[in-house]
Amino acid sequence: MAILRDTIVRYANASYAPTTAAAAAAATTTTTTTTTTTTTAYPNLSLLLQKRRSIANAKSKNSNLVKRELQSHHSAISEYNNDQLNHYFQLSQAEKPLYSLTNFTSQPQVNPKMRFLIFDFIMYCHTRLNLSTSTLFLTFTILDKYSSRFIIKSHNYQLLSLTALWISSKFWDSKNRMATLKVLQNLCCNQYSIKQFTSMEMHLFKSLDWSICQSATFDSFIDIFLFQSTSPLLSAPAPAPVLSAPLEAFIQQKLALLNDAAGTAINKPSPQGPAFNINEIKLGAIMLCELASFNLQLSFKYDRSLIALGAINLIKLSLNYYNSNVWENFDLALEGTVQDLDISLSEISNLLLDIAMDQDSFPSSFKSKYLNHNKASPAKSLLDALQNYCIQLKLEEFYRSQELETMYSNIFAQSLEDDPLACVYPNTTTPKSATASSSAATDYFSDHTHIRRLTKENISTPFAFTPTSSSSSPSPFTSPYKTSSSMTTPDSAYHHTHSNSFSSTQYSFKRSLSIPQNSSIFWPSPLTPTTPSLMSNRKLLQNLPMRSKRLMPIRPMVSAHSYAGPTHLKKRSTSSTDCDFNDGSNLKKTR
Amino acid sequence: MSSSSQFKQLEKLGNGTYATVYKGLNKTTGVYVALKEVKLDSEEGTPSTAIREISLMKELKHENIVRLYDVIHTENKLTLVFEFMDNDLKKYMDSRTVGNTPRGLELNLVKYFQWQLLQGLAFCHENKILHRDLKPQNLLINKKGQLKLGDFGLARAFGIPVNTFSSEVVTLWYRAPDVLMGSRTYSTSIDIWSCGCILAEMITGKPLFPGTNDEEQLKLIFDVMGTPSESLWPTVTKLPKYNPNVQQRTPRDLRQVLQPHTKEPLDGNLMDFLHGLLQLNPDMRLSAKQALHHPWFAEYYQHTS
Repeated sequence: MAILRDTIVRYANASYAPTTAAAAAAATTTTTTTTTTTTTAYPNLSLLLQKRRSIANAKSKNSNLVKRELQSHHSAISEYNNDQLNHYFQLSQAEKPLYSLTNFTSQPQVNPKMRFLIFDFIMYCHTRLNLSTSTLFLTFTILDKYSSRFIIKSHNYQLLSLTALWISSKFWDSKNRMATLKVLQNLCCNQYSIKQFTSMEMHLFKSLDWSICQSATFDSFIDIFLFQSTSPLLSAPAPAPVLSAPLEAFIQQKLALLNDAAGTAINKPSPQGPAFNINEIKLGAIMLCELASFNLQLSFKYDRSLIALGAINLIKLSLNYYNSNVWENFDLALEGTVQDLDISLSEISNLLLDIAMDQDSFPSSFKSKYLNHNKASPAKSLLDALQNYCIQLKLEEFYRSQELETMYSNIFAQSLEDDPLACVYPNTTTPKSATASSSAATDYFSDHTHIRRLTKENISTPFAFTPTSSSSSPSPFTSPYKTSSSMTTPDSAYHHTHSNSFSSTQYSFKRSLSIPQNSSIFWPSPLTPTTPSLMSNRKLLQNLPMRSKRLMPIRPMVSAHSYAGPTHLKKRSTSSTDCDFNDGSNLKKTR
Repeated sequence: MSSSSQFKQLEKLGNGTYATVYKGLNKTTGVYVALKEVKLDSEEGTPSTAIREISLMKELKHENIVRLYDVIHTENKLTLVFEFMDNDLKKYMDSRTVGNTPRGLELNLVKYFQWQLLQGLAFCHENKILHRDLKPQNLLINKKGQLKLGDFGLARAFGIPVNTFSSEVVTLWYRAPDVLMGSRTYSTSIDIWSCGCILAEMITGKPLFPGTNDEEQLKLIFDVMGTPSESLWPTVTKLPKYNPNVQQRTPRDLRQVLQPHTKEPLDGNLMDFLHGLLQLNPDMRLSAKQALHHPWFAEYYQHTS
């Protein structure tokens, strides 16, 4: 169905100057197709349609025109984009007190479940009417702001939401695409009258003091962040002088860090081709933010700029891992100086990953928008990339939990004097050790960060991968317990259709992970090559013969908990520093 | 929140793009205001123009932009309460016509008005708002010589990717050539073109390009500015409404066009500045920020900084 076309892809394609001729062609073809899907009740419909068509035809005939128009826009924006970012920060600061989770949860007639359903409904309508991305996010913000301040009667919730969509559409969409009242009435099976709509509109305006359309939404931040990260004109971003608030400074700093890394990947494509393009990142970040809008915590608690930043960051990292097999833990990539903001950002990233992993509880409107096509879509591969990333992250944390246990057992079960390494552990196992952070910051793509990981894994990791593709020396690493309990990654991980882009060195995700059932088993301390980069560090390992000879000590009783098996692994457990909140929510979800 | 009874409605000031404007008196404070009345459509509720104008102006607080104080809703109409301004630039210039010959403003005043216009515009652009309807009628002035941007009925926020806008914006005489030729992903540059037209009009007292339709408008522009070429404006030939058969013209000297209509000599700085605003190629036009740093304004920015 033409209407159900992926609006975001079109939007994203048209948004940035395409770098290749192919991308430009894609942009033009999408413009042509969208012109045919106009739905409007305006009398001069045919005229408008004709106009749009002629312009679209002219554009599709020469991709240069499109390219140039975008470039010219690009240069205009680059002059103002610091001002605009600043403007959005101020907006979002001013809006902060308007969101209140406690107020929402104390709504007498409306609960979070209803909110989820209403948001789902709105997203259906939005996709159906082919409205712009900004419209959707603005609608969500209006609803959240309103529900933080006023009591909503349950029978009015749908009317309220449709009216919010109506207002947002009038604000953002072009005249011939705007949602008309008739269409909106149809969408709710004519259960509300025109009068009800117009009086609800007035009520919304009045109660939110007329300034509801100016809002710092996810899409505005995503756009500016991505723009800053790709604009060749901004190669040396001038430090914005007005930024004094910690949040703004923090985000600027993160952006600079992200841009260094992403910039190299985008501008200097590796031999295998570029790792990702900007449209993919934008689509992915918007998808994540759409999902985040459904989440109460994310919608009410955190600053939207932080969520947008977290989403972009996650997408970049997972695409990097998915396409070029460059692994980076987001916790390390985001290491910074402002402690509480760092913690928020890592909480946000964890929440986002949780949501993205839980495909079953995606809102159905989201599924139908992105996942209902049989053929592979960019949205699907993005989700795959995210999930791959997430799985890898869990594995890594699994190691870490093992190390902690080993550390404990080492401290208690072993005498220190004959083990020079024991005293080193406490330092090396701190998740944010100084060496790790500095290397993460300087050599984003280098393998140095793995050294730390390796040395630890090397000591005690009690399980091994069996890579399906050939590796330099796979046999010693094969776990003897493979048959006893093998865990496979969730089915979704197989879905990726990008296997051709995988280099030969990359492991397929059909690797099996064996988990010991009996904790008292003696472990030959296997090496665990999770990524090729790990393998490339084997030389380093050989320099540390002492460690590889270490025997697995008897594990204390606590280990039984962390060996809960695949179900435990399915959920992303957070780093040891902030486990309470997330672990609790995970448990709730799994049960 | 004020109520409608708080204001006494006085004489009609004019018809805006989608509303009628009256002079009003705030009975409690004794301050004059401008009351813009917007009819509410029974079918489509609040017009999108009103939604945009209100949302955008609510946050635009600048001394060169007309303040929106309040919005009052009564039954089937909305009343926007604006800061009252004595006059608009159009009426002011008309009032100076002697007999049938229009007269321009003194260059000092032109410069002061243009400075304020660009200050206000730069603020709009920084707040990601395009005015899209700059013309003398929408530039309001008061007795202190202040100039403020008004009527944001066609304004809209521009995101990072500007969605393609309709090409039917900006009153014809002040419409940029790229828009006239069907470009739809225009940006801040369309407001700058309008500023250029307004500047020329302030100097001479009559509109620079008073076309009656799109074709004539383009012809008038090309007569003075020359026809665009691929070398000066790459890909201009690819614009949807580009007409390759249009008679080739060479640019005329703007000074010769304008000088006969004003007594004061037009200096090089002014002409250079005007050229910067009236570039056919939108990319070559100055931005509002750059324009404020042009040497023509040297006396102002040296004072302020």
